[in-house]
Amino acid sequence: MTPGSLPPDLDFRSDFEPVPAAGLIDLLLFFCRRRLLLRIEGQSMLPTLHGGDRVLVKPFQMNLGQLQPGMVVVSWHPSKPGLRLVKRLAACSADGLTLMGDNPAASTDSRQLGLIPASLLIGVVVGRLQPNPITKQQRMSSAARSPR
Amino acid sequence: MLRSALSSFVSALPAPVAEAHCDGPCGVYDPASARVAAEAVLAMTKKLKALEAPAAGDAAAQAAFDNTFSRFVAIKEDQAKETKKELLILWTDYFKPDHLATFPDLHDTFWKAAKLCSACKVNIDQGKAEELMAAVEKIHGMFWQSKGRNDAWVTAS
Repeated sequence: MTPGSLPPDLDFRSDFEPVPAAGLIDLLLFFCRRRLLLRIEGQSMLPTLHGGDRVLVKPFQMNLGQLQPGMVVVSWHPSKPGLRLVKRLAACSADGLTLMGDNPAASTDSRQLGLIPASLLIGVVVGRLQPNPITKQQRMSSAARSPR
Repeated sequence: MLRSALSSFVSALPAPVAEAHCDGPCGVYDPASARVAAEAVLAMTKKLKALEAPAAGDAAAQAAFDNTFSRFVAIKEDQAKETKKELLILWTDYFKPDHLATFPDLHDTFWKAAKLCSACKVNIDQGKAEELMAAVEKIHGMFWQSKGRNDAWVTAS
């Protein structure tokens, strides 16, 4: 499928499931290298994920059965090597995945990119880390981005 | 307690980026979005022209007609604005000064296409809507030529 051949307005639900706070098991699995830690940048997943949020990702094992529409997933960009995308899985078929940003006005996703091959999928976002109080304060005040 | 301590610890670790990205940083452009909006303008213009006013004195039919007419106009105007917005993104963000060597009429083409969007928004003018489609098709050709591709011009309607 070529970009642009998808309908321009996918009928996508607006009641986005929030990403839960990372559970103890996922945190422990992170230390066993069974979860990836990634930092979110950009605004296409607002209000679910904000720039600067950190998430734990369960690596995808090429088993389409573990995928369900509504999950937040991370994949490689189909044409930009090394660029990871975080989007919500809108649909899943044998031909590939339809990925959509929760904030469509500021998102480049399957509407432009077409179906994303499942082989590009990195994993499923399983939890968001609770920012420690200092980080949170820094996030609240954009001016307080002190160099380290 | 353990969980929140671990969570704070892990969140302080360095982490690679996952982009909740948009056109800006990733540079993904496609004239298809302008084409879809322009097609909608043409379709709504045709629908408006085909609308028949109800017989005089039928208040309910008149109300239904007014409602439909207003909705068609609203969609036409909205889609004309959308077409212009999408064209301006291609013009100002995608095309670069080097492209002018290949397409000396680039600025003129976009300027006229943007003017056509305005004309289609203000009027119910099928001729202008068809000219707009032709302009978007020309831009489609320039865009894909600039990428070294020769993608077919396909319309939804």
